[in-house]
Amino acid sequence: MSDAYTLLRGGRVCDPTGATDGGDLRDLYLKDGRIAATPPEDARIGEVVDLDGRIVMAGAIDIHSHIGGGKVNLARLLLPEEHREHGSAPDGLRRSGSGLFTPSSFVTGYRYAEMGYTAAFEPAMLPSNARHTHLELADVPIIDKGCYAVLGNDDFLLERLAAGATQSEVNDYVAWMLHATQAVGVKVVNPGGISAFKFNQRRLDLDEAHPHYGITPRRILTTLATALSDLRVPHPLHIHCNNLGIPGNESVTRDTIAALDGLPAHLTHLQFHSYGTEGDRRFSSAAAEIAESVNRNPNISVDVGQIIFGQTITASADIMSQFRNSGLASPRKWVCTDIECDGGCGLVPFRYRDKAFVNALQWAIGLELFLLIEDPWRVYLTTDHPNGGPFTSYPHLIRLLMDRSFRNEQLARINPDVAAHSRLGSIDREYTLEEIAIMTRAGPARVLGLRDRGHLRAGAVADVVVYDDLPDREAMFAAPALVFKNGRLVARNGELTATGWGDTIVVRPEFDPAIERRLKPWFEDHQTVRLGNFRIADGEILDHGRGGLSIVPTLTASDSCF
Amino acid sequence: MSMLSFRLKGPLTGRVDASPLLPHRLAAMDLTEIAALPLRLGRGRIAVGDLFDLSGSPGDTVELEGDERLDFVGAGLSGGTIRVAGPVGHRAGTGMSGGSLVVEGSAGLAAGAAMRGGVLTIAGDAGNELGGALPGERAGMTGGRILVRGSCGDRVGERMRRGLIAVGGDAGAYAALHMNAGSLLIGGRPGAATGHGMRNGTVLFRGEIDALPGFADCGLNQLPFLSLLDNHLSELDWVPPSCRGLTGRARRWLGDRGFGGRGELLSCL
Amino acid sequence: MLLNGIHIENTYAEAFDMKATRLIVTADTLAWARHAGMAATGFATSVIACGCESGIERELAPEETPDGRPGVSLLFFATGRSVLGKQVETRLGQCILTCPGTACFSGVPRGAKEDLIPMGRKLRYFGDGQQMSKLVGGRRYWRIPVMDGEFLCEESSWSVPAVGGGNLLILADARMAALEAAEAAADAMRAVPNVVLPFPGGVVRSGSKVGAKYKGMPASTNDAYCPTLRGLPRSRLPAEVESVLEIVIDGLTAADVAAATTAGLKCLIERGRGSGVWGVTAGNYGGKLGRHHFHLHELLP
Repeated sequence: MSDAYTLLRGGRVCDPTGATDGGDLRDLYLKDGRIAATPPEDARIGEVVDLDGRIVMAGAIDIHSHIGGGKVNLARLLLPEEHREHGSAPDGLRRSGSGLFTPSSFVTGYRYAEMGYTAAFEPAMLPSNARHTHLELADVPIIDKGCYAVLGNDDFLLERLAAGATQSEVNDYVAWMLHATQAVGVKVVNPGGISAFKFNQRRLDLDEAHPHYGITPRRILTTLATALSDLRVPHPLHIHCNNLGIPGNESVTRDTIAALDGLPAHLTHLQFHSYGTEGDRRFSSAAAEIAESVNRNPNISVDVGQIIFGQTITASADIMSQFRNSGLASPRKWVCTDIECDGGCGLVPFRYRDKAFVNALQWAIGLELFLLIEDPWRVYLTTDHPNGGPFTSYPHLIRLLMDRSFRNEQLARINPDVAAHSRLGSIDREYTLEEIAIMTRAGPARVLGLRDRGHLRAGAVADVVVYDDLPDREAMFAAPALVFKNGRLVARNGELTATGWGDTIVVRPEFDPAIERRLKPWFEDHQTVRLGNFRIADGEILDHGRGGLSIVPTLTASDSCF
Repeated sequence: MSMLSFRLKGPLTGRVDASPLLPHRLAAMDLTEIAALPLRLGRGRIAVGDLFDLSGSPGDTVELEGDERLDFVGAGLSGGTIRVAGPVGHRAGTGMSGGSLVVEGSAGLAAGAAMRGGVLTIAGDAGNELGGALPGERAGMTGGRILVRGSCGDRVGERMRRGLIAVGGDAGAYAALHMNAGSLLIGGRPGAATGHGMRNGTVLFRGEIDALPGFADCGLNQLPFLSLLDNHLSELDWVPPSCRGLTGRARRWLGDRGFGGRGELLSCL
Repeated sequence: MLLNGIHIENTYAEAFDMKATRLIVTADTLAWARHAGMAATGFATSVIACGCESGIERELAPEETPDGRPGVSLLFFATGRSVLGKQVETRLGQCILTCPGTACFSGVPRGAKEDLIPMGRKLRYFGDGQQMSKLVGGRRYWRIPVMDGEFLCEESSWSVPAVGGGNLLILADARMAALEAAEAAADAMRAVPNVVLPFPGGVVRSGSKVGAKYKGMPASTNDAYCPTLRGLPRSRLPAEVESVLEIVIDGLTAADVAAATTAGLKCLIERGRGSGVWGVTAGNYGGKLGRHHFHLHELLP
């Protein structure tokens, strides 16, 4: 460890957690990979970087991005042409890689870092696939990463709920899973629906009983949300609502918010769940109603899952919706599969077309949600990579949010019926830099319980991004002037300069290990691995220093739960 | 007609990606520009001029001195002629869409894989995956013609969708694996598991084989189509002589029925 | 004009633009190829009621056919591409597919998409899913299982512009003299490539004029050339002519029709007045209906 400080001199620090004094210039000191308090006069200053009034933010955090695990790998296999056409050769710094919207693991890390992102969260880790996911994320360089374990369609939980399990038994099971799979949160995908699909159900509403277990999605949702709240896990239940993509699903989404009844929860890729059935085409925007519901319920945070026009692939555990959409596959190939009856997996390549009414309206709905949800602390910037578009389109998306005239220019280019069916053109709001800093840094950090990330106060991890204040926000956010990860410069002007390994972020709530008495026979009777082998040891992630573990503390009574 | 010749300066120190040496790409350059072109050599790069002595003038024909570490020769060829004196490495003529690639020696793996058009001629033997599919792709060869005087390795014509492959010698195992359509002629002996997963298409050879259980034996038949095909072959250059005269009565197996397929294995008497 | 004692009238045959295609039918023997060809080109004398006009152009040696078997080449003529396509489809399906051992190929170069005449493209459905397609030398063929083996049929043919309705009228002293002259002329004309003579034996006796006294009759007997009416004022026949026969010519180009006309004239003139032929004329409609005019005096051998 060096005893010298790195000084970032004279930046316009944009830190919405309060460490900023607006537009005034400030010096930042980095030491031992952390932001340091202003050092004493006689401290040794090593490197000095003059920022000349450039904008300084914490490293950005992607709260929901499918970057590793079984389905991402299947997506890569399904589209070999993407990887053939977008290869990148190795150089002195970088390993080789390929891919555009399903980039290979190394390319994923490089691209995120070059864009000023220093953490990304894989939102759909099936417990039975957890080891694969962590192994793959171990190959994602530079950035920190974490995973949400997918529960809510696993037969153990459904069977226990049907048998009348107590909330505390569920709590122990959830906590055990978080430990065993090295996860930082729990996601529920189409609660009960994925399992119902395997019993030939093709949609499942909130209060519709599961055809086999007889329990409703509402019960699964509230039980899991309660479990995370009881366990004091900082990231609340990460919910992928029922009936994704179906016109009229906004009612399920609003019912889901109502069912939570004040329990904290995060609704993910909300855009895909905000569809009405009005108009000649029985497909309309319900963004206003959904945004109002989010505005009124401070227990809810969301990410949008904006779509970006062009070719991508949709990858989801929601086999019910993916099977339904398989006919739309472009190019015409798709995969739906299952392992261990743990959840589901569906991959459908898709090209979002700006001249197609439905796609263009989806685009508008996403932007409406961004602009109509008032509190930037509760709405986060995502494209549900790669489902709505690749994460590399974030700078474009930021410009759409910050630049009204650019947004209206784009609106004028897409299917003309959308302007008539959407209120997007009449929304004047433009995100400020501070609001962007909230929705891409401070907000996700807070909802994930990352106390030392997403801000630039003393003690924070020294993930620092320096931007040129360009009028073209897309260019500005696409190629930051400087990116520091753990105090080390890793990219300059959007080009990688150094590489390294980030941490895996996990949460470890307390639980009663007696739950293993029930789980052990379950694994022996129904799974292909035994309980002891299922659990991922810390050493597997630490891998002789290649990866680090960062444990998010559980909430205490003094933490404000939002 | 102008011709550009490449003579190797010495033995290769690693595998070389020769795909940039296409006649139409070089036609617009002068010799100094061509000599400065970088080629991948192993993990690094080397200039064309450091690898080859150049002579002649750029035009529609390229003549290469062959080496079995020279990969991707004629990959993506869309017109003109490449003649190789000696062997080539892997992936020769991959993704060709037109023109003619003549290899006077043997070829490595996946020669003519994902070919769309043009003619690939190999005077020696070909390795595995001749006229096969690129990794992960559902379609292999979708057009053009591959003529091999010698024998070929395993999985010739994998996922083939259109076009003609004629192999003068023997074929390895799993010929026409998952073939979708097209014609594969084997002048010598077909290998094990020929036609596994075949959906459609024709594999034509001489003599009896032990067909996979997924193939239904439809007995001997007189097929006017075989005369039509042989007539067509008579008009082409370079067809291996053993692939000619596959006419008359043929035993027909239909399959692979395990895959819902109705391709045919035809063994001529 | 009098040549070798034969009157050659200074008039012209009036012919029309048509669409045509050529099919090549092969079989195990020439006889069976001929059976198929005869049936397929049967009942195809006039577009007025047959849909198309067709005939066997010539017989083909095994070296001349795509599959190395003996065959015949057939020409089909119709007023337009779509009606030609329909006629070829039904005749192919009923007369060639059904005939033992046959295979059928297009006999014209590959054409544009809008000129397509479906062959195997439609007929393949007879295979009920067991048919198989093969692409050989850039052309697609269908192999349809049938009870004697396999029916091999090219996917499509193409229509080409053609000329139909060239004609010669042979005026003779007696019926037998007219018939023998017509037979000889037809044989000579059939040797010309790219033409067929669509009527039975190549000869037609019921030459027609446009219109009739009866409603609904578009054409009626050519009374000016009917010998039984030669005393009437409208008759165009001299007293010594007792029988008239017509040879109708359909060809792929005007030059082909002209060559056939010349071949016919040559044959008739060479046979001379001694053969009982009084003269030769041609039918026209005043030159207003057809674009192609074949003037006999210009086509003399």
